[in-house]
Amino acid sequence: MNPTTYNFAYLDEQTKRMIRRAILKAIAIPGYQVPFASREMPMPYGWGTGGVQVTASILGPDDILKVIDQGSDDTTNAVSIRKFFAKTAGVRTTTRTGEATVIQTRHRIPEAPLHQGQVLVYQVPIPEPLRYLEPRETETRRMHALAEYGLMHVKLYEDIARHGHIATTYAYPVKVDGRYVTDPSPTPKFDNPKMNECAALQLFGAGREKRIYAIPPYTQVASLDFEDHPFEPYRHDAACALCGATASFLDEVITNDRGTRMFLCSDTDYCEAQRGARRAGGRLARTCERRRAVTDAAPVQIRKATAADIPGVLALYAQPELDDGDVLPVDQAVALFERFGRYPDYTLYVVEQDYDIVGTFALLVMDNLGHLGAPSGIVEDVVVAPARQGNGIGRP
Amino acid sequence: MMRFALEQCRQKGCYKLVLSSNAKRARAHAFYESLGFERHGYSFRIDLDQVPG
Repeated sequence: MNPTTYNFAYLDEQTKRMIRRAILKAIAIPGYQVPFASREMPMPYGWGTGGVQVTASILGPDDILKVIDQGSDDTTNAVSIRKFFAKTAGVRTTTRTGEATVIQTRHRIPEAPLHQGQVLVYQVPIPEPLRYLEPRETETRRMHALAEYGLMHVKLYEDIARHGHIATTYAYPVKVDGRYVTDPSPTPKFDNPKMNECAALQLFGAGREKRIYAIPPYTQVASLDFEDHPFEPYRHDAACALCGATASFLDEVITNDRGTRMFLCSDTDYCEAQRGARRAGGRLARTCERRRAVTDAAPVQIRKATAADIPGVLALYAQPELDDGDVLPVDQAVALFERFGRYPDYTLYVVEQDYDIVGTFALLVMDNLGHLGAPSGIVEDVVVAPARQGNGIGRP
Repeated sequence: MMRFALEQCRQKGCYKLVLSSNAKRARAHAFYESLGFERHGYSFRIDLDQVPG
């Protein structure tokens, strides 16, 4: 690449200066939408032209870039933008959240907490949070100038009147630094709490709408709500089928025509890190065990199952000897598992070895009026992983 | 796993611990018997999805 004929990071220096001025103004007035002369980019509107222009303007040769689309490093949009900057700026790219200095994102905030010095660049389709309530730009500007946000509260109130709760689950409006009502781009409201007092600088670029706005590090970001209807972060009642995480934002994936579904972390880097930690934990336990030289096999541990264990338990049930290898879909199984909790004494146990679930059984303690009130114990669904049968897992 | 279940039941004052196992699963029977379980009476069953109401 010849530096005299090609601009670093695609945009010419004058354009970058213009965009940097808009960014500086946006940082100075947190949450305020600054107009800028959005350029044509070598990709269609809606593919992140705003985010790409912001990234191009702040990127330096020493930066390490991560690009995510709906939390994933591997989708078309993320891969294309990452390659675009690897080609036009020659910067290092990464999929690790902690390692990146600039993270461009579409519709998610990474699960791992961001740290000081990082910049999160959002691709924003519609920057104006009031747009669907008031179509005229002149009016929405006046409303922002007067901090007149009654209309937004009426909208949230109508949600409550219609659904009994605030039903907005993404692009949930926030108030930045106690002043401007801002659209967090269509991130799920699950991510809203991460924006508050965030250590990283958050920049928002809307290419088609020609607006840039910003949330400086450690700024107060409050999700709009009411005293009697406080903001409630969204939660799935499920665990990631790959890493078992229950605290991350999950994507629902339909796996066949019968509607069987599974949940997976939307943040691919986080999911990989969780799986890596489990493997490393398993290795560590094995090393310790060998040092003690008691036995070759890693110790087995019996514990009560949690919802996060259900995918592993279902995998054990999927052997041909039990129900011809058919199992319940994860969400149904989790719902039934939660009913266990409503019995006085009915518990699902799992046996763990090397951080794998290798056995399971359910134990019901049933009250009796006969036998002088002595209860009966009933064991059901006793299963050991086929590969570990005969190793004594069922005995302890 | 099964000893753990027995211990749980003992602590809770159960007078027995029961389980049912398909008559064909000889290996499972040997396993349960090796732990001290005994074949006790017959277990009767009716398959509800095959019997007209």
